[in-house]
Amino acid sequence: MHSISILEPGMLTTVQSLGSPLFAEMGVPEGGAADRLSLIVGNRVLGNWDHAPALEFTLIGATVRFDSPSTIAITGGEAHIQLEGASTRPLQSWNPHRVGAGDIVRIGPITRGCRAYLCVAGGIAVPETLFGASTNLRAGFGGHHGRALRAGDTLEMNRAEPRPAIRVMDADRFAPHVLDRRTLRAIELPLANRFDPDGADRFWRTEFAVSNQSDRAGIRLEGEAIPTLCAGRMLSEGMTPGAIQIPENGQPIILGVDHPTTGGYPVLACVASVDLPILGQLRPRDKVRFEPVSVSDAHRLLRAQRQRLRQFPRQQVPIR
Amino acid sequence: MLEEVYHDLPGAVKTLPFRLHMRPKRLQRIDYSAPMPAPAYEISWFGDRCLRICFGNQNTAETRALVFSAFQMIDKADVEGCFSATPAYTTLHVRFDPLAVREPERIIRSILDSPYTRPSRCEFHLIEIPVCYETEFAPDLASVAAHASLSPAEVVRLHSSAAYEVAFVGFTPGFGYLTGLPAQLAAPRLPSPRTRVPPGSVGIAGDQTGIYPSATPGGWRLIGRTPLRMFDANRAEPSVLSIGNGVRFRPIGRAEFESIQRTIEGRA
Repeated sequence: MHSISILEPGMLTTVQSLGSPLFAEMGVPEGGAADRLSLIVGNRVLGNWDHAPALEFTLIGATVRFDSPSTIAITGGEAHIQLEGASTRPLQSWNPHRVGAGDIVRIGPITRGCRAYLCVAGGIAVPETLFGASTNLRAGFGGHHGRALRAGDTLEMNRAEPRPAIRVMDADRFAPHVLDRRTLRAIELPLANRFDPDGADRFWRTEFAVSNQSDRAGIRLEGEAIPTLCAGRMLSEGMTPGAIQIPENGQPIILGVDHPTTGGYPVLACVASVDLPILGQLRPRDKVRFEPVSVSDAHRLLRAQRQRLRQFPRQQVPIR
Repeated sequence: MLEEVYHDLPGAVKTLPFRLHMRPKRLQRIDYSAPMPAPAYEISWFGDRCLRICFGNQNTAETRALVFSAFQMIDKADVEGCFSATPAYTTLHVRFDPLAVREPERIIRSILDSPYTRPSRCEFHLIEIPVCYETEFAPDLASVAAHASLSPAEVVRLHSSAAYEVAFVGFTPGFGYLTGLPAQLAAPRLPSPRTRVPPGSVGIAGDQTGIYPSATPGGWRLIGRTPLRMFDANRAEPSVLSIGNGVRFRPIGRAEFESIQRTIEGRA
């Protein structure tokens, strides 16, 4: 058996891939890794497809045992990672490591950022649901039986093609973008009859704190209340990840990957695609502010980020 | 504009096995061949990878029909790099890869303004949802009845005799926003929401009625439960409801509830 066993599940561990934005008209959100950039880097380090399914940990990592040899990479939020087996040593994140049959990998509390990804060569093997492997906890589908992992679960891994994993000299150069950036670039929507210019101005000036009532569906912020002209209510309409809603109490909610596909709170701005992965790394009490960006600048930034990802496999040396 | 035709399909159970209990009856036709008013709409960016098409701010049957036909036209056009469209009461949000789609606004305008892509006739299903209104599944039936000054039996009769329309599916997988609740049945939300509403629960909140597809916290007043799985990602058609469907609720007893539930579980 080419598999991985969960000994301790951590706080909330799910199988996630890149999500699929194809079924919005059925009420299905995009889903997938909350920080897709870290998942993509982890998969590229191993020579996987970008969308190879991996484990997503939230705030506290899991302890897992490999039942057969594999190559792994842990990316995203920073945590202490300990390998226990033939040799016992700490593992460096953002880099590939060989593990042997029976080896145990312990991922501790995440101390910088909010979510970490354990990628395995070939990816975690789960049945495809709605063209994806990602877990949707609310509707209970995808991933491993549509639920968070528990102690005792065993997950199959795909057989990886025999290609050398690569040691990337500076794979962690993506870390500062997702882990340390606390200014989110966002595109302002037409204010229409929903906000007045003073309310919008206050939004762009305020520093908000991330509430602990935040999850994959949305990040709740706390700060100076933002007034709306429609008492925080309007006819329900389509939503996307990154949409910043202002409900009655004036405290913004940034929608996450498992967002409700429609909603009735007015939206003031939307986080630019280039900064969406940061949302997956915001942890309670983090401070964030917003910076307005034009649509064309947002596209330019996104293009630059994708180019950086494309150049990334060039700087590699095979590991032993 | 609206012409309704109902056909009973007694053979449906045998010929459409996986649609058993989903599509026992067809069908409702909406005829768009009558000239529709030229759609007036506004397009604006909703972030950097989504366009919001707005057909006005009046939630009327005409506006919803415009949204629906626009949704179908964009869906059929199958633009490369265009992922999905989210219809709602008066808006349609179109999601795409901004680096793959050049000039998305122009593309959308050319689709929506072309007379050739306008659907001349759409077929819809009338979906019959079996609902057990018995006390065990209807903890709030009495309070809805009291609020409406009706007997519980009259609430059930009104709720199950009205014709509803799925304005759109949204919020959570498989949740249909239904229009058409009889005005007398409107009832406020619960003062404090339940921490867990069982899947299949049929509820009323304000002038809306709907079915919870999965177990969630919720503040709607519950008046019954359907044994159908409103959303099942592993089914050929995951969502029982989709935009434009007609919906009726058919009252069933406890025995039929359990028998339908067994049939569904047996197939899963």
